[in-house]
Amino acid sequence: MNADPPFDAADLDVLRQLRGAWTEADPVPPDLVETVHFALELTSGTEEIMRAVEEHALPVAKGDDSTRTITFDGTELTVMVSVAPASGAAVRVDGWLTPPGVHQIELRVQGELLRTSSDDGGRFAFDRVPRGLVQLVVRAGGTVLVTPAMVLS
Amino acid sequence: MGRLLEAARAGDRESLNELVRELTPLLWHVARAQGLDRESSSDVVQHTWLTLLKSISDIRSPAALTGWLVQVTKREAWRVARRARAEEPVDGAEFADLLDRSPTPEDLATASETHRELWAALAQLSERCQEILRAMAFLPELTYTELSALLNIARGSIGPMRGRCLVRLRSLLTGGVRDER
Repeated sequence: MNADPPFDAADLDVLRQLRGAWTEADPVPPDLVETVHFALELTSGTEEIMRAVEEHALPVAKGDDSTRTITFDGTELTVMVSVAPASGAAVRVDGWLTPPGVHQIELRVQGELLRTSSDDGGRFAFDRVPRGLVQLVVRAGGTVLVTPAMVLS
Repeated sequence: MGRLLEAARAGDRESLNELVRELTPLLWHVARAQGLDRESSSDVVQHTWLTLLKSISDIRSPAALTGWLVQVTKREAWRVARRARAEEPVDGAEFADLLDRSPTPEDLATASETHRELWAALAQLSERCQEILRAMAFLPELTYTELSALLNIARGSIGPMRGRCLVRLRSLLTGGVRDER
């Protein structure tokens, strides 16, 4: 099927060295495969995939923690998420949907699903979210939107 | 890989996860080669895999899968890079990092101990050659048709270019330092 001339042993050796060199110089982030696995786990292929378009970290008054805001874009809906440290190993997640509307909101964390809904101003919050991988799901009418998986730390 | 694809298409998530393990390194280097920083490249790779779920039922062969993933990764990487450039403020500070190129052989010839000789040799090749070699290094089993789609080079030129780039690199490595770029 493939009529390409084969590589000889020396070619393969050079390619192996190149792969080693590139892997060393520009390694794949160690958590990338795990993040993709997490994101794929409960995604069926019918959802709209939102894109992270903007991220800011704002220092808070005390301590070293900071508030992080991330904006995700869908075709007809934007969600801005703010992540702030809460007590213990948890974080607090506040969100705003634009355009505003009452929708079911889910936050997938490892091993469980947190649920809430947005108010008519488009606001929602999760008080205590364990740090680690999460994925936000917005059920807006017939459309299910998912953000990429991200690490809350 | 054919067996994994077939199982993944039938809904077996463990097979899909295995495909993710096998092909993510290639997609990562494809995204990085488009000039995106590490964080944006991770986002792009994740987006590609999520997008695959919509299309996997139409993908019939491992070659088609690799080609599809690489194309989607490139397109998404271009999109992200274009948006970053469009939004770049006048002073350029905020998005400068986003468009940092992945390390070039020129950067690395001075940086990496173990592979210094290899980087020095690579730095003397054209960017096209570097791109071809990078793709082949991560997927040596790519066919000409796949390489052609991956690199936007006419299929008929792939064979000669591939051969020329490899021969040139090997001759540089075996002691030649002539610069005939």
